[in-house]
Amino acid sequence: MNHLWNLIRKELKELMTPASVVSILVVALIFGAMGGLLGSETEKLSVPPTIGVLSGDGGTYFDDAKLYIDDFYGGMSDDYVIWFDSSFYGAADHAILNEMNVSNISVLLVFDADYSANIAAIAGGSGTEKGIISVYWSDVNTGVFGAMSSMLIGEMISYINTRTAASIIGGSNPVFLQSPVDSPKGMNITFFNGKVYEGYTPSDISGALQSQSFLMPILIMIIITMIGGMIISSMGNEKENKTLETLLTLPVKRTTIVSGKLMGSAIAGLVFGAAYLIGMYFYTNSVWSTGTVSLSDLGLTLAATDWLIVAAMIFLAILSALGICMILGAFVKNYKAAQTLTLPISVLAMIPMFVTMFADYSTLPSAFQAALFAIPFTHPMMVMNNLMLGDTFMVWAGLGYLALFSAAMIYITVRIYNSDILLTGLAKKKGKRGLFSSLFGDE
Amino acid sequence: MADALVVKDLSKMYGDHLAVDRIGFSVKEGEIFGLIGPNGAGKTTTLRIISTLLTMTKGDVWVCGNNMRTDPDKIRRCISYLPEDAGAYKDLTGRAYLKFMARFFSGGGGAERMVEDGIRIADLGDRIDSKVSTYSKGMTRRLLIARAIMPGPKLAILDEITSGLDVVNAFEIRDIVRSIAKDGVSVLLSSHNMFEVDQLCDRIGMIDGGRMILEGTPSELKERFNVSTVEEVFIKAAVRG
Repeated sequence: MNHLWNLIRKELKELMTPASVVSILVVALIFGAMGGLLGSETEKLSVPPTIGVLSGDGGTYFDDAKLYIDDFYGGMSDDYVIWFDSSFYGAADHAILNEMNVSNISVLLVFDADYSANIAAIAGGSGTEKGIISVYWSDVNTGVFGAMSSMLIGEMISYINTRTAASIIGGSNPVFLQSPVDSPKGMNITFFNGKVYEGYTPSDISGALQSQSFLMPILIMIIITMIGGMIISSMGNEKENKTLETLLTLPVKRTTIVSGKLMGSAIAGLVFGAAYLIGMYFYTNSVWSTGTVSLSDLGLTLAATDWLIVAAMIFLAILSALGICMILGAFVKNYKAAQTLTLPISVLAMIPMFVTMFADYSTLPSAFQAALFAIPFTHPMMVMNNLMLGDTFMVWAGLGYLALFSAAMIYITVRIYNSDILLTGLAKKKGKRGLFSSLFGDE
Repeated sequence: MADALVVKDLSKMYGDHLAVDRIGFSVKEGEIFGLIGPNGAGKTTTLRIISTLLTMTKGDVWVCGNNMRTDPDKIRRCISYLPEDAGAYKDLTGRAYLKFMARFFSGGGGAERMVEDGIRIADLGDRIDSKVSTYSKGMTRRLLIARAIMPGPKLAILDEITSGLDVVNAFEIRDIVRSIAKDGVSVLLSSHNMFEVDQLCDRIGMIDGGRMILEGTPSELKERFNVSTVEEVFIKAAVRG
């Protein structure tokens, strides 16, 4: 046990250098900061924008429009609307922009001088010209949420349109007359995964599951790629510096050396993965926090035993990745060669990540399903959704497969450490002298 | 004096390639035995087999009375192997590296004493607390020699110990090897430096094409070939084949 701990400590000191810790923390902080930025942008959108209103018209329909705008703001237009003096009407564009800047607004609605007259003509059945509202924009937001401000103004104009039309149609409930048919959200009944979800649309369900569908695959891919890179590079370094040769001649069992490398890399990978997880949590939380339906609303939650299964699956996936990497690492000659061997493990992690993020495993063709099942990293990526949706076959089959796979990888690794292959590579038959000498060196 | 190492009819094949062909020799307690030979002769393969790194295809090896096939773990407790151009863990300090190695041989106070011995042998002063990545080649080699000697092995296996070192460092390291042999440690070394072999070794074995073609003390071999240096012995033996 002392030898094992000695090896684990050495691995951790080698892997968790100040440079590697700082670089991981910086990436995690960037994710967190991106999440914070997106969150603040989302928060801004939840507050109605302050707008300016300018009119060249003093007619009744404009007066009505003022009331509709106040209604749109829930009776609080005094807080969000700046009514411009009508003397500005017809001013040059740069003068209007200057006034918008002075008033600290980025949107100005300008009602045309003929606004009321045109609508009155339509109401009287003689007009064909609509009442025009021009919109001035400044400080255009080119970010992801840039389109949202124009959508809100579009909604406001649509609201004014509906209310104006209703007043023209007349009657006790003109809004009802305009849309006599309704399909309220509460009347949506969705059958999903053998359960009945009343009041939820398929969009609500897939939206709620989306945060899990994205977070877990990305996290698993990052951990696997990171751990794989670490251990293959560590093996490359050991071979290049011949520290592995020294290590193998010490009075310590080969299984202990293998376990020390596996556990040291696994601990380092989990610590770095946890740092990423926190950053990713803030990022994804801000992206999906706008959804109105949460997993708990749908009764899709994990029990304590479910979390144990998730943890076991992640642990086994890490062991499998480490096993594959130690086998690959056994054939590298130096640090540089090790870098190229991280590609297979990255590809193996990325394929299930993209598939589980954008497709439903159960609807894939059988051959594709089998190929994905064979990749050990697929299972922890799907396990949370499978547990929540009650797909116990996939959970237990995945867990069993992962246990067998990781045990086989560790067995092969120990066998390699007990053989000549670690130092000599694979022997070639006669007639392959070039490769032969490259494997065995000059002795 | 008892034999610290006995090698008998040792052969090693890599696939179809016979790297070592039925070689045999022995090293007595406190003796320095030098393995010489051209590149690709099989020296490093022989050292790696004796160090338990590679398996043998045929033959037998005994180290301190322990058989290689049945007791490799016991052999690892009484040997120290220093590969050619070996390095240490670059992110550890010299002291941390010695501590890491000492813990495999002893615990608690025993390991502490071993580390103190290692620090004395390495003689790196304050730099023992610097990271290995900042060491010169000579400093790294001193640290590795200290690592190899501090556990008090019965057999030290040293591959090209002064390769690439300057005159002063090479001289000091040869001095360390002489002093441990005086303390009863047997040394099996391989070298391309014939001056070093002549100066250090009590006996020499020359391997060529995987076979042991010569064995004897430096003076015996020089007399046999009627030459004045081991280098000339090497040249004449290599030409004769």
